[in-house]
Amino acid sequence: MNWRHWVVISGAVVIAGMGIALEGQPFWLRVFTFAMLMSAVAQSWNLLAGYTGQWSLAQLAFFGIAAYLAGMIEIYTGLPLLMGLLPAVGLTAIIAAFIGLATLRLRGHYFAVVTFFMLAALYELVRYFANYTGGQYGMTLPYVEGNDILNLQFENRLVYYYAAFAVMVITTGILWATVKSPLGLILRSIRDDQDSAAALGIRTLGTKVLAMVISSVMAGIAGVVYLGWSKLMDAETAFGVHNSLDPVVGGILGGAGQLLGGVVGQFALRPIVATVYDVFGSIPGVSSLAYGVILMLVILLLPKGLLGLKVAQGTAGKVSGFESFRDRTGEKLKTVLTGKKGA
Amino acid sequence: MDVLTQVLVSSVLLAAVYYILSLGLNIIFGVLDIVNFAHGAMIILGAYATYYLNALTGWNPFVLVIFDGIIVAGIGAILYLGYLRFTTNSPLVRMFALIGFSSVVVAALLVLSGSTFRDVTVDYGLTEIFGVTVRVSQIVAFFFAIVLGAITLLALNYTKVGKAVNAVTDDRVSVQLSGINDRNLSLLAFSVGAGLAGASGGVISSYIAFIPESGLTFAIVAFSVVIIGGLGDLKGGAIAALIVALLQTAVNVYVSSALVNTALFLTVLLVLLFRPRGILGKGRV
Repeated sequence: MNWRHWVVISGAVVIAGMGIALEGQPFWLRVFTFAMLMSAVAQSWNLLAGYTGQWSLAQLAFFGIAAYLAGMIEIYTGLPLLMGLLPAVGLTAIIAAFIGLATLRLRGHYFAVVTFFMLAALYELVRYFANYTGGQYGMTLPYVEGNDILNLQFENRLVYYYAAFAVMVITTGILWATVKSPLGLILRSIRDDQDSAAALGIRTLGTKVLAMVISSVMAGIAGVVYLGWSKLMDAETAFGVHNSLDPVVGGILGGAGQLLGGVVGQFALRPIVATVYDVFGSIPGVSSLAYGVILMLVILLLPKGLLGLKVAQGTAGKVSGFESFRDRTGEKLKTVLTGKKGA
Repeated sequence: MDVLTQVLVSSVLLAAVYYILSLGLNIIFGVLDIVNFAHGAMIILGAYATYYLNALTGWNPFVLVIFDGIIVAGIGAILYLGYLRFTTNSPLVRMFALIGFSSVVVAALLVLSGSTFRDVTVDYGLTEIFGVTVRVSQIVAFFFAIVLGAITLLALNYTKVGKAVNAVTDDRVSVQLSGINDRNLSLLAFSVGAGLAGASGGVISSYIAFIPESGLTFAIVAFSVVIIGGLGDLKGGAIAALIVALLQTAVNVYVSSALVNTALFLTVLLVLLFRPRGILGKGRV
């Protein structure tokens, strides 16, 4: 084991211990529970975007689809949430396969644009089929007194913290297993040069669809646990444009294509957003402003994310975000002044 | 009143406005290769420019269209010079940067103006076309859109700069080789595209009330028009604008107003899969 493993293990221990420390502070307990569930979605986005190069805007949709399915399974068949997790996530994976077969033929920004349209369509469909989904009021699960592990119902909110922790560890484990396997290598080859990968005999469409299916499972697990935690799912949470940015901003902030990118990003992002919301919560739009500013700054100053920064420091010794920004700016300025090279 | 005539008349009136909604997006994509996800934000900036200028001067929204265009073009130029130029030179990364900008604009407008509907619509009364009752302001908006679209097309086809913009859209490398400074052209195209978005937002504000989030609806329309028409293909865009307007109105009337975006999603997906160069087959892939 090298130092990286120790950093990760001690980080996990700190996060696990933090739950007990936060027990008396429901606000921050909620923030970090949500951060861990969202980091699962950010990690699933990381698999599809960071490792496979398919920059989806609709990763949160799988979180929402799985949650809606699990909720409907509980409401219509009486199967408790935890038992519904498997069929709900399985159905989500099948839906993801069909979505992938249709959309992953497109490349680059065409794919991104279509996922954007898909969000708008899903948002509408959930509201259109209000009889099944609860429409604009959202889908609420019946409240049950006491503790019921099968329904993911716990009186003590701390249990949800550790459930979210488990989801985060499991999804990161799935990401790790995928990325370290031969499949991970193929995914990265598609990301770096799809045509060359195809020329080497890789079935690019099938592989990309597989990546989307795996990522939908990761996001889906988080969605079902989220539903158990909040007992409420609505169109805005699942398919709203603003919320859909969350895993993307988290993923880019932590570092797309870094094994812990989504986790680091969400743990950096959520406390900021929560603080902004806590301070300016009464003014509508302020938390959205925070997202936008963070996304713009990260792309400008830390295009490789926080983890990319750390790696650069480890190898080159002294390249910080600002220095690399200054270097790039200097380079751009030079080209502006001499009139050579396109911007 | 015949429902079909009603659908046709309102579609044609909408189509001209939809066309100018998409022009800026198309020009920016053609020259810079960036899908401008801040397009909806720029449109709504134009609409809010009308609102504030109208409150300040009391002028008619139709008169203010030109000022909206100039203001948003200026914002576009500042965004390009002060921010976008310094980001990693990758269309995807810049696309996400513009998503960030779009969030910032919508949130800033929410903070400034709140989420109450702003209404600067002009009331010229009603009239009848082919037995269909329409608002006169909508007809004026239709003619404004035609004029704006015609000016843009003429400028692109008959001025030196416009020809250069067309040339970069067709083949960037040849343009660079023939000594045209395509970086200045990028700045120009970005601010002109933003300005067109702003002006079209101004036109829209003359007959629709809006909130900061309305930009999303207009952005979806603009994206559909550009994709169905073919990226960088302004003639295909005109036909696509009519298709999108017809599709929206028809779904609205015959199916449900709650399924308009779903219909657009399916249409856009089918076009991208089976006709990726757009309806005329002349766009870029």
